[in-house]
Amino acid sequence: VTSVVIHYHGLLRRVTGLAQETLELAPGTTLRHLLQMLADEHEDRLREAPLTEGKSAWTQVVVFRNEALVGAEEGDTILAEGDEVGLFPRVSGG
Amino acid sequence: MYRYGGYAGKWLSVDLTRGLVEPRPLDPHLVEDYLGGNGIGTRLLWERVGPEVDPLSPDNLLVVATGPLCGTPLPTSGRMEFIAKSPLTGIYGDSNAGGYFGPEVKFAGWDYILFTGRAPQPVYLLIQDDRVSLQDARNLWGKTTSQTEEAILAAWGDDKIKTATIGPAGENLVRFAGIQVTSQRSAARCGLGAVMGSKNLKAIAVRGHARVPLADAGGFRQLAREFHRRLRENPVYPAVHAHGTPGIAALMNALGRFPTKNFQMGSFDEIDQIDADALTARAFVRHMGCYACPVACDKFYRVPEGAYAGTGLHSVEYETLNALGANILNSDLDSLLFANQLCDDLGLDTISTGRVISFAMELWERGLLTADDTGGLALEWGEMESVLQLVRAIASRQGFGDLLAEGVRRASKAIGRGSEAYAMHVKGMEIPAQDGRAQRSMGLAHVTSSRGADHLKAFPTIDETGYPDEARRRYGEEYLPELAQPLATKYKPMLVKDGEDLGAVVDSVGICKSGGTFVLAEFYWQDLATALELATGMEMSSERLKQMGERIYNLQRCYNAWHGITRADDVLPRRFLEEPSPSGNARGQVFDVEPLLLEYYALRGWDPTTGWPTPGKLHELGLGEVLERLGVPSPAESDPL
Repeated sequence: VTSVVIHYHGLLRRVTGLAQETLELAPGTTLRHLLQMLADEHEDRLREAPLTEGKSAWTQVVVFRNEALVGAEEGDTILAEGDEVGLFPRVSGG
Repeated sequence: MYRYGGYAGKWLSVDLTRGLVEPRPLDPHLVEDYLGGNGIGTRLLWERVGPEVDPLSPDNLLVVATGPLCGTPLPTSGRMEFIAKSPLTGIYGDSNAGGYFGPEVKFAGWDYILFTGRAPQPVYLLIQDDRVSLQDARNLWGKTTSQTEEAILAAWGDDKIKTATIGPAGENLVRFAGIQVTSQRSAARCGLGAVMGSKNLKAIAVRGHARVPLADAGGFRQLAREFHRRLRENPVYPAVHAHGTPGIAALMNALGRFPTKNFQMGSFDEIDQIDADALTARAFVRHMGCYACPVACDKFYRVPEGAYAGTGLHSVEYETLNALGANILNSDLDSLLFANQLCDDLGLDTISTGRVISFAMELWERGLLTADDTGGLALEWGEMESVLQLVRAIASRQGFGDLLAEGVRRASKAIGRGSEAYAMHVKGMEIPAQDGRAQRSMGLAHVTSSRGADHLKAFPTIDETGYPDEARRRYGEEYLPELAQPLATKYKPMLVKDGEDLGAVVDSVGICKSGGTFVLAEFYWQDLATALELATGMEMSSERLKQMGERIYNLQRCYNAWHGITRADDVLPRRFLEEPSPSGNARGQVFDVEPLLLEYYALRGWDPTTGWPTPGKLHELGLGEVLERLGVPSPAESDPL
């Protein structure tokens, strides 16, 4: 398995009640798969948060992998052991 | 009703020297070419304030302007503009505020107010619908902004009066003094509070009872309802409503775009002490909205206990969390909030205040300033007792504060010793909380802004954190992925130019950039054209509106060119080119603005040698008459300082 740490920020932290969690993933899991898994896993608690409503995750959240911003075009990136994934609600403004 | 809906149809001429207040009819040609707000102010400045005018002299103008959508049911229609030559930069200056003041000016039946001259003693302008008078303000001089507002409301027994006031900083001509617009909002940038101070104008107080006339009231209200719905359904709405601009602090920190230690770094290790979560947990009291705004990004905060217990304030913004937090290595939220409130009360721009202090702290760190220079004040990073003393000294122009009250450009010239390298400004305006090393478009925007370093003219939000849907919707699939990537340079000059033109229109019609047009990126050219046509009855299209935005922005550039600004002034501090960012997503990045600037000039139709609009472009925009004036003085003969 591949062990990955997920960091939740802002509204995502509030609605999941988690600052971070460690997930054991099947080898070959991509970032896109991971976001879908999180949306499924937290569906109830994320009811009012960005990861729901059936929209593409990258229109709803800002994703970092090991401190680097990851765009939707990099969604097929395969996660590696020890990767840290940061998730922010999408927002801008200053 | 005036020829066009959306307008009151008249403006106020206030000659402070003679104490004369006169109503004047609104020139329809002016609104047909420049809409209102920012556009009208730009035109008036161009016509009446030349390079020979000292910004703090009676000959400078102060324009207080609304737009045709201000005070209507359209969401976010609470914005208004102050325009004058800036005492900080010596070039075009403006500052925008939301809240309820702008709509109240419209309700009183006025589109804009034009102040000229200097009152022989302190006064404030009182507007009660058609009854307008200058009132003695000698008893208000020296008071803080909140004390002034309170005194005026009490004097007239009307707590619905809306005020725009200056504090001691404006009275003392601090070059980055702001204007407090009720206790809720600030028109902080460009030092326009000092322009009010130089005119002995302590405040403007207004109360009105009329409605804004609309050409097609039914159609407009239906559109307004649709716009409200679209905002609430926008994917960014939940986060902006929950936290306002502080909600981006942690994200910008992760991007390496949260200036720390006077731009030495782009991330703050103790961000979790001052970010939106910390702010909400510590001090949130309630949500606040501006006029007709469902986003309600404003909040009221109060420090509940401790040394700063009782500190209570609105509008704690991302910029201030940075300027008075990470920028000076302060992770103590309570003292940050107290400093914010102090700046609001004294009438200081928190961005420039934070930057002049971080400039001084860096000089102290490098041994370029000593206790002999600072009057014994130790300027260690994060030392908030010193910071608070310095804020008061700046506002009162006492001791070392008198030098910092000049802004970093003038202060660094006075200090010398190589200190210019640490003065983080463009054209004399201190740089706000963005960094071209982490977001290319913002770095370019700082350089091309018509009022000096500023993010709000172009306000490129689409690539801030990646807005692929908005990029696709506004510009097309072919621009992805680069257009939405903060570190990509491709297409960014286009994004900046389009944002500047759109922003010029937004600031001219009286709606909000944070609310719907940039942060939520919901409304675009055609939406604004539809709203304007229904409100005013003017035939309007995206293309006509784009030309208006371009005309306004080009005239601002021409105004600056008239004041000697050339391509040589379109530069960033060398730190961005020479010192790789050590932070976050920007780690290892430097930023060279030159290639983007050349592409931007080409898109604008500006001469790549001078940086001035070409004759062909000016004729295309109906600004051919500008050319003659730009012939004299030549750029080499004039210095904005």
